[in-house]
Amino acid sequence: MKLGQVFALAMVFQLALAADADAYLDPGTGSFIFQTIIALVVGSAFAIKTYWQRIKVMFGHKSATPTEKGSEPENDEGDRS
Amino acid sequence: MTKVTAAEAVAGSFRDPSGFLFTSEGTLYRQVNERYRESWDALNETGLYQKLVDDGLLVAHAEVSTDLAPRPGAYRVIRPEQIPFISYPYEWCFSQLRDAALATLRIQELALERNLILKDASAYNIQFRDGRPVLIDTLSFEPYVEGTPWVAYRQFCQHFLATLALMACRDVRLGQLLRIYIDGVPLDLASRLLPMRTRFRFGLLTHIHLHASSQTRHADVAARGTGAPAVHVSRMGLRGLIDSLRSSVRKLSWNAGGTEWGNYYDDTNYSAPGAEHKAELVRKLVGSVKPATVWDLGGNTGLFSRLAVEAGSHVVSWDVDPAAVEKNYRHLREEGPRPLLPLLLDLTNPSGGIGWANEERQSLVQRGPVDLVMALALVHHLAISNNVPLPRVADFFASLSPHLLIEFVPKQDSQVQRLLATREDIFDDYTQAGFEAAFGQRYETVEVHPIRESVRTLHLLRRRRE
Repeated sequence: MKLGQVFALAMVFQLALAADADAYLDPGTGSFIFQTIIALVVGSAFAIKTYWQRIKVMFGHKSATPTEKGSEPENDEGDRS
Repeated sequence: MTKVTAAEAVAGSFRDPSGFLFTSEGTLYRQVNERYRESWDALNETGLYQKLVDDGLLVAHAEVSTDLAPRPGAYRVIRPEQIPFISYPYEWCFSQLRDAALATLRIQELALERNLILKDASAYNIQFRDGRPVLIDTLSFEPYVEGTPWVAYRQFCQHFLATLALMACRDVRLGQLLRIYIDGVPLDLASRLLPMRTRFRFGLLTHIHLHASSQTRHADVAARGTGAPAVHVSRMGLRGLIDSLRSSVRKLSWNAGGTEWGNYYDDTNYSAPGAEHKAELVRKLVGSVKPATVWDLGGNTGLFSRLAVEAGSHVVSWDVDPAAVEKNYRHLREEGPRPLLPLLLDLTNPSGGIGWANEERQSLVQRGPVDLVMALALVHHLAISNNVPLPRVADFFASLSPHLLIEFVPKQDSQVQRLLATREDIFDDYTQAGFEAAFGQRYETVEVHPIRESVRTLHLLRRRRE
């Protein structure tokens, strides 16, 4: 079996697992397909950002990870009235 | 079996087969079904439940006997902490919806750390408790399966991101689209309504515009019968998605200035002693009723609502102006937790019963009655700006509470003069005597006080027994 086929099979398997979950929402096909693409993009960016933060911390910069930074809803509007 | 027959399912709780809400003898319970067992156990065993409750992000609950379950298949029955007033996203100001969105993402993040995931991201699952957003649906979690996408991604975009973007980038009143679209603003509609410049912002370009195009492109998958496509989203991808959605939400802001009532308190005809006297009277009269629950109709930025809070009441401060509600909420956020809930309401067209069978989301009246309604500097807007005859105003208020604290603003008042400046005065019955006769049909007077250095009067009324 070619590598691509193994990959495709793995996909099908994962999809089957997803179908087993008790999902009552219809996620929408177009939305699901789009999510795979956008998650790849923003996931990579997030990975780079996370590792970059770690490197900075290693070299003595005190900085929170992107995850910790955004933990709480807060007042951060620049245009408060 | 009496308890079982007495139990009544909550109308809006039927979509999710994991369980449902019901009331029994006036107490709210949630039946957790056997099919939700694995998720329920995971929620508790991973410590997620405790973490979320400790962080104020999820309502706490007590487990009670499954004998209370009204339907077969119960795994658990819980008695969740009750939220004093259930509000809906179309009644929230911009920052309330924004904070609810950020709370949802934070919950999703904490869940993912413990190998669980939110299976829905409905804005209706968030409520405000003491001014802070909290998740009320304990059955929103399921075990995370590596490689699977987030099933509620579209729902999050529709309920939160698209609505917030429309409010921030087009017009804050577009938040009212949620009254029409109960599952959030359709992304293709949001995409059409948003200004061109939103296509140059990465978050809005992707999560709304491109997302909407993808939906349109793949809309006929079911018709083609090709089945669901293979999808794979890594854990890092999901974390990136949460991070990207959060940063998109955080970048949206709305400046609450320059609308109808935004500067109302700077622009009334009260002298300083007059304003002080009014506050003193409100404090005294509310204190004499000792209401547990108050609706302050036309509450503006919540000045008098806060006096009722100080008197020990849970107060919902309603106003028609998004800027006033926004200011009220931001002020509350700065003050810290207190039993106050600023909400948006057009009294001339109050929230109706919507959703399935008109009963999924309750109308304003269904969510009453309360112990006291306050209607300060309001009656002239209803009677003159909106042409509602005073007896009808009295009828409506009498359906909401046994006590009414109402301010009468006569025609001599400069605010009323202003309303009459551009229209014919057709309001012959709008007089002190007309007011007293109209409300006298429904109420008996407890106390009346003229407000110092003004022509206005403050009336504490008690509803007559039918």
